This record gives sequence, C-alpha cells and structure tokens, in this order.
Amino acid sequence: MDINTLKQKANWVRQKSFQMQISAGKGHLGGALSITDILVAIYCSGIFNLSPKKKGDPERDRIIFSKGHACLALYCVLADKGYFPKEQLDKHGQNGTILGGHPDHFIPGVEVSSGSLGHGLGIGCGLALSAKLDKKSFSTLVILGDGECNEGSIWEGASFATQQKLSNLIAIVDNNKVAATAFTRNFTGNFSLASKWKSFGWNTIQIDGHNFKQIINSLKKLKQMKNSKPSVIVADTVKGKGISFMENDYHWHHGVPKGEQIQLAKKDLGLV
Amino acid sequence: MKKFLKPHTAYTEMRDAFFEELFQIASHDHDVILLHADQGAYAFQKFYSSLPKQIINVGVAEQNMISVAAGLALSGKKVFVHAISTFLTLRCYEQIKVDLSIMNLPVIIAGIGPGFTYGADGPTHHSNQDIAIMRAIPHMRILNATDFFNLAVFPHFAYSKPQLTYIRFEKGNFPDLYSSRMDSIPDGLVMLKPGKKSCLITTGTITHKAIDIANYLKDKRGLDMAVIDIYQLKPLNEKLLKKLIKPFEVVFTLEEHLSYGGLGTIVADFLVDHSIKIDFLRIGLPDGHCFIYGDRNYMHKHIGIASNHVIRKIDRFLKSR
Repeated sequence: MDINTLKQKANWVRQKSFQMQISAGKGHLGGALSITDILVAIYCSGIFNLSPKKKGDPERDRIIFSKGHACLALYCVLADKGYFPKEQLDKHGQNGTILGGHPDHFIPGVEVSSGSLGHGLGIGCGLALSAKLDKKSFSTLVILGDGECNEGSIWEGASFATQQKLSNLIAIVDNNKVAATAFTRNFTGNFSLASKWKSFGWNTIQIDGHNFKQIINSLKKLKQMKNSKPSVIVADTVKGKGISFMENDYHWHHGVPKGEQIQLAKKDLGLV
Repeated sequence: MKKFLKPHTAYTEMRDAFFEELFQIASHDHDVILLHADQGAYAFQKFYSSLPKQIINVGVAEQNMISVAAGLALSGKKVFVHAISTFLTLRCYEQIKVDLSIMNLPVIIAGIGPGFTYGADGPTHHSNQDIAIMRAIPHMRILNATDFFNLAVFPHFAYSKPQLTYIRFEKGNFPDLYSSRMDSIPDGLVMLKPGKKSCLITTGTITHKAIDIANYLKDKRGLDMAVIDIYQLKPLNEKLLKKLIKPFEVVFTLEEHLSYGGLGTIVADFLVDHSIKIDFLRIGLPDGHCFIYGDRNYMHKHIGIASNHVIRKIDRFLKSR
C-alpha cells in the first residue's frame, strides 16, 4: 500500500475515532490520534503477518496493544482490516457494544486484554520467548505509551527481554510526551527515553511517529535485525495530532470536545 | 492423573515433594515451563542440568514473571511460577487479575511460605492475607498443602486439570497425614479424625496442631472433636463439606491466616449460603501485623493461637452456648 493511501486511511481513522468519541461522549482521543499513523503502518503496510483469516494461526505476528486506552484508533484499524464489521464502530459507547473503553481479548484481532498500563511488555516477552522455544518465526510487537514507560514493570520486562535475547520482540513507544494530567517529563524527569532503552541493551531507533516512510523503514529494519537484542522504536508523536486545539494539550487525554470545538475539530479533520 | 497418584514417599523437605514431582511432569512434557523469581529449591538443579530450556530465573521481578507466564500460556505453554507466597500474591495482585484471570490462563502460582513460615523474617515476609485476596480472583483454584503427600499430588492435579491455580506450601518437614488417603485427594477436603458433636475445620500445616488439640481434648476432657482438613479452599467441595458437618452441633475453624477473609470466612460463607444454622467460631490471627520474632511456636504463643489459647477459646465458646 503506497504512502498516500496510508495517509488517507490514517485520516479516516482519525475522523472515525473522533466521531466515535463524540457519539459515546467519552474516550481517550488524544492518545488515539497520536498512535494512528503507527497503527495504520503496522496493520496496512504488509510488514507483519496479520489478517482476519489468520486468527488462530500459530505463525501470525502478535500485536500487543499495551496502551489500551487509545483503543478508538485500534478499533477503527481492526474494522478496516475486516476483523469485525465496521458497523460495530457505530455501536461503541452503546449498551451491549463489543468495543469497550479498553480493548479485551474477545474482540477479533485483539491478542490480549489491556487497559491497566505496564502489562503488555511482559506478556510480549512471554510470547516472544515461546516462539524462540518452539522455533516459530512469528514476531511480537508491543505498542507502549511514553507515560506507560513510567511503570516499573516495563523496565522489569526490558531487562528480561535483553537477558533472554528476545530478538523477535519489538516495542514501539508512542512518545507523545503528554500523559493524563501533565507532560510526562514533569513526573519522569527530563531524560531521553531512547537513551534509557539503549542502556537496557535494546536496538533503539528514534523516528518521527507521523512519518510513514520512517515508521515503515524502521519496522522493516528491526523485524529483519539479525543480532540477539530486542528492538524498540521511540516514535516521537503529537498527542491530539490532527485537531489543532488538542495538540500537545493534556486536557485532551480523555477530554471530549463540545459546542464550537466540535465544528473546529471537524474542520481540522476534513469532515466539513 | 491416576498414574501420578503415587508420588515418591521419601521426601524430607516440602519443596522437594513439589518440585521433584514437577520435574517428573516436565520430563514428560516439554511444554511445562518453570519460572522462579530468584527463589531456590534443591530440585532446580535437576531442571537446570536436564531440562535447561524449561526453567528460567527471571530475577527479582515477580510482576514481570506473571506477565511473562501469561505470554507463554497464550502460546500453549504450561507454566508454573514460584517465589515467596506473599510477594507472588500481594505484589503481583494486579498482574494476576489482568494478565491471568481476565484472560483465564491456566498458570500455576506456587508460593512458598504461607503464614509464619518466614516468621522470624518479620511482617514483610508473613503471608497472612494471601488466601483472602486470592479467593477474590475469578477462576482461581486455591490449594493449601498439609504434608508431603498431598503436596506431591498438587503439581499433578494442577497439570492434569488446567486452571489458574494458587498453591501455597511450607518449607521443612511435616508429619504424614495423607499417605493412606491419597485416593481422596481430588475431593478437596477430608475428615482426618472422626468425632461427635463438635468439629474443628482447618487448612495447611496448622492441621497438625488441630489434630494434637483434638487428641488432647479427647484424652483429657472426653470431648471427641472431629477434624476436617480443607486443602482445596476454592472451589470448595460444598457437597462433601455439607455431608461431613451434618452430624455436628458446633463448628470451629483454625488457621494461620487473618481470621477474616481466609478459611473462617470461606466456611462462614458456606454456612450462610446453605442456610446451615450451627454454632460457629473462627480462630485465626487478629487484625494487625506481627513484630514478634521467633520460631513458629514462639510466634503462636505471642499472637494468641498457641494450643492452650485455642483450647481456651474452644472451652469458652462451648460454655457460652
């Protein structure tokens, strides 16, 4: 899929995520908008062995969406891929929807339930380890948030992956630098996240997380990396990307636009 | 499972009973993986020399150990995790809920050191809340070892009937109660001593004290108290317990765990749920942390569950009826 098509798809994901949040009256839109391009690249570029037809295939690549709160974008991408009908997206926020405020493993295409932060990397380590033990070729990709990297369990997992030489494990950090109530640097310290991963022994690449060429090239490179280290992409992104007044503002971690904000957001997203 | 019901009988250490048996299972099934958080046992040497791909020391990182276990289980591995029970359960509570229970993964959590096993090591190492919190985890099966014999069956039981399971067991040596009762293990509870009118229900290695107390009461007071050991605390074999306690007028529970949330509460819940009207007294640890340092008997004396304390509580309760 060419980059222009990926961009169009990402734009649709942002539009739909916004509409789902407005319709539900709740949802973590800011982080969904920052991870959108990365998700579209992962699911639509053909780098990973993913397909609704391969559900249950032991050799399918495993995507662990650890920053579960950003699931609006994930749901859109999975529906677009055909894991479930797009009509389900319109039921988000309604009683009886299959698409909750955080993803569960019963949703087609979702490998693990997530929502509480700091769990996905350890689970990813276990999956990657099982592939090594069983000589399977699948890759495991864990999608983390930079705020999530404040959890101690992430660094337990980071040490384990290095010690176990989990070269089949890739993490990608949505480094939007904004958490729920503050810039992450306000509580983690103003250090380089990439340096931290590197010091834990991971192949580390830092990219622009909204540049499809960079996302795809880095994923391709790390998936084919032959050394014995796990790999991480620190993807610099913008929280609220695509809606001008939301960008880099923690109020939109789970804030819901109202009144004129809705019109402005629609204009920014090309919905009007 | 039947073929595993005759474990080795020469164990002199509880850990050997569990891990030697687990080694036998792992030798036959290479999908069995043992993760431990820098916790040792003699049998681990066998794993490292004979089955090196089936044992990993994850280091001092219990939370990650549970998450890794979840990932392995998602790929079909049969995972046993091991550490000190209070660290495994309290520290990793959310990992157990989110990574294991929510996805209903059949990981076996084997914790050493229930109650005051590590008594002299202080309240950070005491495991007196673990049953209370683990029974609140959906899908969780809880097994509590009494001696080598029932403990030696637990890994086989857990392996042959896959389910998220918490197994708590002591280190050290305890007298034989189960060698002649091996066939009853799947029942989850057993009457170890018959009696009349009153019954003492217990769990874990304090069962040995319960038997001593019951024997003392019979010899010295003519009070013939039955003793029931519940080694599977969840799910409770309600049908069998209902049948066993039917003849009695009074039920006591004795446990080395907070007197609320554990065995006493499990039996209380059972009595309420089945509308069983019976005189009932829970004996366990009081609300608080224990800063008394010493061996188990010394600690029991200072915290109020030494044999003479238990007998006094039983006496008072019987007189108050």
